[in-house]
Amino acid sequence: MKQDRFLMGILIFIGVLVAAALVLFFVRNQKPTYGAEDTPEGVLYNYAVALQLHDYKRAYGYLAEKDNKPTYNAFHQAFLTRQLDTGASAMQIGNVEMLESGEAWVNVTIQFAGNGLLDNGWSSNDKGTLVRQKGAWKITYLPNPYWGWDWYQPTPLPIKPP
Amino acid sequence: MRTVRRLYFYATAFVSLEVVLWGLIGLARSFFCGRGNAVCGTAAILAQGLALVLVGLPVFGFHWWMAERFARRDGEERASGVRAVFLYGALLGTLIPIVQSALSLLDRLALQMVGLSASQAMLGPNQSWSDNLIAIVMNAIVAAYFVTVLRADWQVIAPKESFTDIRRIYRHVWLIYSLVFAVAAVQQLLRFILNAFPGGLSFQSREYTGLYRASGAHGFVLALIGLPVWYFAWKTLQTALADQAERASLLRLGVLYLLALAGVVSVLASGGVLIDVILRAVLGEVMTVPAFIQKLAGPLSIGIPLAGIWAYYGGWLGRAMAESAEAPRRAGMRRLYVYILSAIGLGAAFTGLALLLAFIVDAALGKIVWAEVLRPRLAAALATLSVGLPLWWLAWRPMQAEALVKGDEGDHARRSIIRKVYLYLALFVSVVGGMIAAASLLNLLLRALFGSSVDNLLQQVLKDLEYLFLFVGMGVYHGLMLGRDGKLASEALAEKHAAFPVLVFDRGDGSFGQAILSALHKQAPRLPVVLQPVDQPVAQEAAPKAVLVPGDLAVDSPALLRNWLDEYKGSRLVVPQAAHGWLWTAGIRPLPAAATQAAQAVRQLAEGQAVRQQAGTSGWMIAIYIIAGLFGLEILGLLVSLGISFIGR
Repeated sequence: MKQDRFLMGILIFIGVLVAAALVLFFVRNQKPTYGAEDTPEGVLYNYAVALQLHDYKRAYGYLAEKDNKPTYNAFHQAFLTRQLDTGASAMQIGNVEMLESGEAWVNVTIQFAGNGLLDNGWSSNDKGTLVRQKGAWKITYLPNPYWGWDWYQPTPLPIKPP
Repeated sequence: MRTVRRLYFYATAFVSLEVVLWGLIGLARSFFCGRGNAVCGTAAILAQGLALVLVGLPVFGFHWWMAERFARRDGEERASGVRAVFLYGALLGTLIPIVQSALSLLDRLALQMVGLSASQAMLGPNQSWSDNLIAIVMNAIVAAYFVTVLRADWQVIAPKESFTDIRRIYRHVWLIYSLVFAVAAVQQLLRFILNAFPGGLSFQSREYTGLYRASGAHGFVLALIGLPVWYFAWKTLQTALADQAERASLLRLGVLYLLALAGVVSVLASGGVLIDVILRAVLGEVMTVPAFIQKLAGPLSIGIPLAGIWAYYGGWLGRAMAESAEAPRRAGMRRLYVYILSAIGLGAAFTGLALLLAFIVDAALGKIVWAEVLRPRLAAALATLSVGLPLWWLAWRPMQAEALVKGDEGDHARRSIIRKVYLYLALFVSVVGGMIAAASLLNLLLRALFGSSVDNLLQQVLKDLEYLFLFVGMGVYHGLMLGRDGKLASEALAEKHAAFPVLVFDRGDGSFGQAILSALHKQAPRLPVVLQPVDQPVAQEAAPKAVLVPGDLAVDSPALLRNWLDEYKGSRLVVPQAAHGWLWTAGIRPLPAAATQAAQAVRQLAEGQAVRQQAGTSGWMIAIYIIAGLFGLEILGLLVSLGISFIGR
């Protein structure tokens, strides 16, 4: 009998955990909302939210003004054609490091969904970099799939025939 | 020496046989060049075939001739296990290629019949019908030769044990090999059927539908080949059960365990994937009906045939267990099966809980833009839990109930080595896992304390705490069960000790008697012991179940003791002691050590166990201890490196 109570206790505990997880799922599974963007981490967060909401114009606005910035069309196409697919990944923002050069480095963890049973997916730690331009923080780099490898890269010139 | 010679001749004969056989097959295939055969071609093929035959033939001829000569001369040679391995190995080495070639040939034909390219064949997509037919004919000729050799051997060999053992392995190899085919056949056919569900293919591309037509063709051919082979292999094994040795065979039991457990694990894994897909749909993942069915097709097509394997071979395993005459052995066999299931269930439930807790921590605290990751993470955790927890619950509860029963039945369950291994293994995993989680947590906290930047500290601390909590919980639970088992076992043993009175004879100075009394008190405090001076008569009402006599008294007993011992019917234990004029060839241990050994023997007798009379530890045991120590060191090294990698992450 005592034994049964112990095992029942385990089951009840697991039941409570499942209920808590379901509540959290339905709370977190809402449409994400934009937050303040006066900090580097706020800008990165809003950029990820904009991509999830398919608000590409707003997301494009967070990109820094630098040489070889992708055009809006190229930016939009990358997501439209699923060359970059942010649907199957989550972004978590970590600590911020302010450099003397005025640049900000933000730790980001990209989580990818697993394949199901026994699989929690995998994650990778990387950095996002931002610079301050006209009083606002703008993104200069983020890891894949939030960033195209060819963005801000100079277009190679054709080699002239001898 | 003869065994080494045998090994050399038969191993060389086997290798050279394969060289000759495949050389001949290559040569024959080269005859069909020029008919669009992609495999053969030119002088290269002819040269390769000739080289193999010219080198292999004399080597095989000589070694096989020598092996046959030894076998004809010596009956023991002919009945040897090495020869049996060679002959049955040669049969496997020729018959399996026949099956594979037939499969390849028919698969290409079936693919072409459904309008697909032969290049999609499972085996030998670039081969031609002539390649397969040549391989079949050549292997069949060699197989037929070795069948005649084997038949002749079976008629004359004695004893037949080695051949019987190897033949049993050979038959089980066929059983497992053909079962793989049969399961693959059903899996491919189900995949085809489920994907041909009305509307299921309507949105698919032409290439995609081709893929499933190929599944149908593969399934048909696999069934055509695999099912008859399986039926024949299984029927042969069943017919052989008329022999008691076959029924009692450990190999058969092991294969049945393997098949039943493989069935259970695969069904549960498929069930878990199925639940995961359903949960994703329930939690709101956008899926069309055909896409949903297509996602279910994979796990269903694997789960259904393996459920059949589980049900069928699980039933046979149950029958094999029931056939065992001894109840404790029968219970032990059942216990092994159930504890393995319980361990699998516990592992899956633990993983599911860990995933669920990690999800709760991340969802509650993490500043995360989730996108579509939230749903699969929750579904994976719940699916893993919903597979692992019921399995653990259903397997563990009967085992626990059995161990809580008082009396002999409960004693057997509690003292079962399988239960002890299970509990200690769970405890070991808990302690080691707990140590790693605690070290990781401490490392994190110290890093934060020393000013190192740690991302999302609270979240990471909670995740490490979660693992620590789970490992501690698992350890405490299994530790408590071990403690309870020990307590119940010692209560039962104390009752047995109390019902086992012992009489200790002493020459009179009291040194022997006191040493024995002290040792017995340590081993079994409730054991009733009476010290009997040798010069006094034993009380009439005394009814000892065992008596302890010092060695010097045993070899030179006074008449009073000798007469009493002659009448006595219980156990008589002699403790080696120096005696004038006598030499003890096994040596004499000092009194405290000899008394401890004697007390152990008395305890074993009181508990109804057999007393081991062999002294000391054999050289083999020492060797085993050393090997076990080396393995232990290796595992320890692995765990330390795992711990370091966790700390250093």
